Amino acid sequence: MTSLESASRPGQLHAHVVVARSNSFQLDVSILAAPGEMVAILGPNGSGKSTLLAALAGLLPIDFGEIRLGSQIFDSPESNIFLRSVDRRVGVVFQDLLLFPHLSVLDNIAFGLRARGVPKAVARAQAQRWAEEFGVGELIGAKATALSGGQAQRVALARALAVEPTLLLLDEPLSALDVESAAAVLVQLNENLISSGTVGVLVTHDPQEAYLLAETMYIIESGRITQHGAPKDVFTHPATAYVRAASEKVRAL
Amino acid sequence: MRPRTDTSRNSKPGSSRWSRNPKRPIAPIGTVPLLWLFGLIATLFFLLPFLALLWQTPWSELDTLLRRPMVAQALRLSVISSFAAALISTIFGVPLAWLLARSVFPGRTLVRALVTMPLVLPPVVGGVALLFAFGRRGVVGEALYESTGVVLPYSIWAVILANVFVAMPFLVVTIEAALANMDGRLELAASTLGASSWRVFWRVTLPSIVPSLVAGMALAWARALGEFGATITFAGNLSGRTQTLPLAVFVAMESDRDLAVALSLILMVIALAVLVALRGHWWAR
Repeated sequence: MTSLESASRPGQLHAHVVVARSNSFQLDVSILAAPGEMVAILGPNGSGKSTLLAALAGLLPIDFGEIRLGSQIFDSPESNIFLRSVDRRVGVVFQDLLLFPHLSVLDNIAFGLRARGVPKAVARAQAQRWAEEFGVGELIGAKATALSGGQAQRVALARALAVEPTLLLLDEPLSALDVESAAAVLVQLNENLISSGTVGVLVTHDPQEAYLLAETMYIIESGRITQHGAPKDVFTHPATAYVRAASEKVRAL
Repeated sequence: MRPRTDTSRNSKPGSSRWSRNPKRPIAPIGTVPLLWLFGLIATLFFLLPFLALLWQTPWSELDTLLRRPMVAQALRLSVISSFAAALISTIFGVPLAWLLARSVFPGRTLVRALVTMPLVLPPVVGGVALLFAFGRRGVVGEALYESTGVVLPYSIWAVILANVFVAMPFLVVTIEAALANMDGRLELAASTLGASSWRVFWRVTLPSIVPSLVAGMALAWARALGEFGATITFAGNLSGRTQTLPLAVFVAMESDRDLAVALSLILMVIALAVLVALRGHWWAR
């Protein structure tokens, strides 16, 4: 697992995730995503979004179902397979970004490479390139705590993508950005996903974010998928009261 | 310490003003007279002994007093043993604190109680217990002596062991609290980036608790520097071998009060230096 090339085979994401959180709440959703595609999971707070994200990231084993990327099985309780985050090659951008406050921007971006055994000089050189790609090349010496919200966001994206993940998970990725800087980052991100064949999964409670970022959208309510399709179609034909309310927010754009 | 999140739509600045940072009302001088009175008495109680010590200091003879060989010996022994104790406490105490804070194992509560014991136990009792364990006739000491010929009591090693026994709990308690309070999601982020548990600890956990680590080490060191009861019981009071500064002060009080005052002054200056060096950690809030 030390060579970054060997494991980077793009594939389709098949996920049937069943997690029983309590007697009253069970998450049971199926999602599909093609290589290079960005899929949004849109739902209200408490609908099970975070649980789904944790399951995909390898932070939480599923109780039933299967998570598979291409031919690689991430999690299958039936076959007793559970790959940890490190073996899944997922990149996660957390809502609070969670940059390491004691490290510089460069070392934040290089963290995943160093964790995979890439020598320091090589990791730093690669991190430098990622920083430049996301427009934070001048900030590599800065402490992560000294960044603005938008800059921190870019660093978090660069850090997640530096390990060349096959699956990129984003938790409310735009919440720290203003609209203009968001647009530039998004173009960058989309190009990257398409050229690398990485599957992107975006989890959000903001309909505008889902509308702007995703090609396919899944609506999740109380642990179940209630509607899915292209954001435009879903918002023009809302199936539930929640989607109807969400579509009104999008129309305001 | 965390990256800024205050621009997110979920937490608009100001929305949590009341819950998070309530502005404490300032009590003007003299209000609630009873509290002021008792507070003032407490302050005087701390201040007067130090003033008395300075008052009693034989300033003109201080130089000759401090030049005595036993002073240098005691100072040297105190410095070496307290630093060694702080270092050993850190090497073993940090992992212990991590175990207590981060894992669940049978008997964890018992281990925590055991580590806290020396904090409440009279140090003399600790010294007696150490003697029964590591003394030449002790449970471990006898085997140690018979296999290697090493005798711990009445050596500098005994001084250091006694210091570790009383000092390490301070470090463990401080670090455990820091580990329990730190943002565990940073460690989560590190593991999604592929870091092994060891790397997460070394590169993320430990750097995140550096302020508490410094404070814990300083507390342990200060406690070791002042250690008396366990040391005199387990290591004895051999001038030049196991007689640390506090022991020297005790002995001098019997025979040479001026010397006792001079030695106390040294300990006071050291304590003051530590307080000043750590002001950011403790009292400049």
